[in-house]
Amino acid sequence: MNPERTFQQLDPLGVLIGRPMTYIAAAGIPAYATTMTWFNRFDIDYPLVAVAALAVVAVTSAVLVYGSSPLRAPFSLAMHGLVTGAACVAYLLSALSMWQSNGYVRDDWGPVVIGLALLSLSQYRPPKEIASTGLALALFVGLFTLLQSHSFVTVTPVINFALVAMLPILALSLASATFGTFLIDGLLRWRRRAQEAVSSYTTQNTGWIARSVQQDRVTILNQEVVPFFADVLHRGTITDDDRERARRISDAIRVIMVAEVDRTWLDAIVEQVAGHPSDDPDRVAVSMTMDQRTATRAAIIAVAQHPAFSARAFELSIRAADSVCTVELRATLETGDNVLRGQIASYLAVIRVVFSDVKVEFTNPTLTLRFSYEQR
Amino acid sequence: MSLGLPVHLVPHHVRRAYAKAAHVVALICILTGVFVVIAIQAVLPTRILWPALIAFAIMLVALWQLDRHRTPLYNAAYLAVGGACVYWVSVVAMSEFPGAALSDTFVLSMAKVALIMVGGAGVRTITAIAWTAGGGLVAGLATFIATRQTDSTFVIDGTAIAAVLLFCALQVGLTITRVRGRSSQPNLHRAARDEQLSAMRYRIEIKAAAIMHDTVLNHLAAIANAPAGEIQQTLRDQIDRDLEVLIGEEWLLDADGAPDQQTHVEWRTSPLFKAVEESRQLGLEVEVSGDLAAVSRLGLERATAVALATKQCLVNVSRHAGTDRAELVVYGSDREVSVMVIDTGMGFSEEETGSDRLGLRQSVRRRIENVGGSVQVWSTPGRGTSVMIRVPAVDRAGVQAP
Repeated sequence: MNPERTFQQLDPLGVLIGRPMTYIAAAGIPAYATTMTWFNRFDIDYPLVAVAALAVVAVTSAVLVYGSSPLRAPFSLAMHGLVTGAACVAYLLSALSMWQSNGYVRDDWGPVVIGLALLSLSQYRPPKEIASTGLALALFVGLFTLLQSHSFVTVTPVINFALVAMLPILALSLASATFGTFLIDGLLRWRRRAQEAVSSYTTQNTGWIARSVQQDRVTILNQEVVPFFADVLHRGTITDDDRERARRISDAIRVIMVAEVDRTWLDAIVEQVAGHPSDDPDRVAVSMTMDQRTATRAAIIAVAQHPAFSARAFELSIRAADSVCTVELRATLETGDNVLRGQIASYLAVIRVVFSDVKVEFTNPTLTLRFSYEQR
Repeated sequence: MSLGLPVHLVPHHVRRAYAKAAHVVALICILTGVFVVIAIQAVLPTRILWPALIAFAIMLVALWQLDRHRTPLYNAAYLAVGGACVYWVSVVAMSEFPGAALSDTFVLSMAKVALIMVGGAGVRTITAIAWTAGGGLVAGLATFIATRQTDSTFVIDGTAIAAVLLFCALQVGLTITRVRGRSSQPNLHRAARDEQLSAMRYRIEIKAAAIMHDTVLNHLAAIANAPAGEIQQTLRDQIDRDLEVLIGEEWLLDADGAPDQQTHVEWRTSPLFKAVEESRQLGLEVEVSGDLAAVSRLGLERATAVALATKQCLVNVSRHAGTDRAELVVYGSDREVSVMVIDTGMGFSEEETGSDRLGLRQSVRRRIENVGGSVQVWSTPGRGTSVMIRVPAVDRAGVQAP
């Protein structure tokens, strides 16, 4: 079974644009925990533990910001574990800091922090994973709340305290999963329609492409082949000269055809932006998927459109080792700005999602982008 | 495709997802309220709390309807019905626990948050915030009236206010982030479209190269290898006909222009059968066996590609293998169709056939790979050659098997 895809994998650019929401969450979570700690200060038995809890909340936010960086995309399962694990530790420390005096559970910030952390992951991790983490943590928090029943001050059944503690985690994690599910479903539905439109566009353009390719071939034929055949047919006989000429023409056409069929889609783009083909001796560019081709094409065009782009210094090579192909793109961009933070950043985010082992360096003026893919 | 939504569709898309998520929060709040009431009723059976369950049940129905119809009318109806339910739950709680059940009691907070999670209709941020705040106001008003009627104390509900603030902040955040530049999105869409066109051009170029090979290069080879003297009538006719087609007609349009998946061909009318017949006319004895009906599971384009590739294999047998006999076996499964051309001729080593050799490379291998298939060649010098052509089948609905 294929792993469930995340919204970040499907729309890396959209997630990059929406990243400020992650910053807001990362700032809001410690702010909320600190505020609620202040309001509950008279319930705190162990101030140092309460401070440690807030420190771990800060770590939760830091991990969230670190893991969601486009330079580290896609957001990994391990990073998910770190974020929710840190939030959980913060919850435990907070509960311990009020172990003797936590009369009401509903003003505890721990479960809300766990819930908000899971809400923040909605675009980065698969909805089912978020929902199951939420359910598991809610259960854990519910059981842990039961252990604190000695400090409760109302006559309400103890189970209700557990429900109170579980509610923020359940509500926010399932909301997060639902939000992610509907974003993904809507996007996939649109893509199906877009794919139909693109196919229809391509079919509509088949005619002129075919005519253009045919014209290229007819031009080649008209140069030597047609006059030769016409001559032979007119005479009705084959001479030794004809045989020799047939071999020569045949060899020449073969060389042209071999060169043409060996020219990859990537050669065409690199020639377009740099005036020379890519360095791909094994023609492994053809084994990229359509996603990978689209991302590569868009990134090359974006680099080429940079005002400081130098066509002559542009190089793109692909090398295959076993089944792994490694692409290296080098461009010279004489600029004082950090191009990795500019317009190119959004294309790099897409590259990170569709390729593996992506490494980007910008040492003024050289931009080096290296990434790999499995040969199909 | 790693393509996001076009900018104009994002607001609608995000609002819808937001409303669905808000409704899930509302559902969890209502269900928690139900469990809390049941738990209290269980330990305090003398208190009459079950009417609150009826109110929660009505809220559930209203929420279900709202989730199905995200219109202003249903949002307003949810607030009206939900407001009445919050009032009813408040009256029940405050009457049964006079002095203890305040307006911010947990179970009342849950009912209020469920109302705040109305979700709203429309795509504008201000509208969504207005619906969220409206839910908070209706909920607050409902509990306020209940406190007046039951002589209870009205307390500002921190949980409800926090919910309003959190979800209003989410609205603002979603708006701010989505209006930021998505300038690279159109470029990605353009790149995807260009990639499709590029792939289409490449397919056509491969086809053109294969056709050129099958016609012009074959004729040039025939002339180069013919004895000096009068040209054979069959060769003259073939050159005449092919030149007429290559120069005068749109020979590249046919197969790519036509929808290939729908046409299932029977063996006798299949391109493969014609290819075999043409090879027989060249003097080759071809023995055909296997699941011949399987060729009807190829679309027109693949059937044509397989036929042309097979013909090239048979031409190779005729020209290079030093034998006049070949065997053709067709295998079929639900997912793919395989055609194997076997001869017991001289055999060859593929590496030794030269980098410019286009017959096997172009007319067979590239042509088949171009339609999603694969070619395997087993050849031993002196012992013969087997070429296996495998192509994905087209299922009954006309869709290529994955």
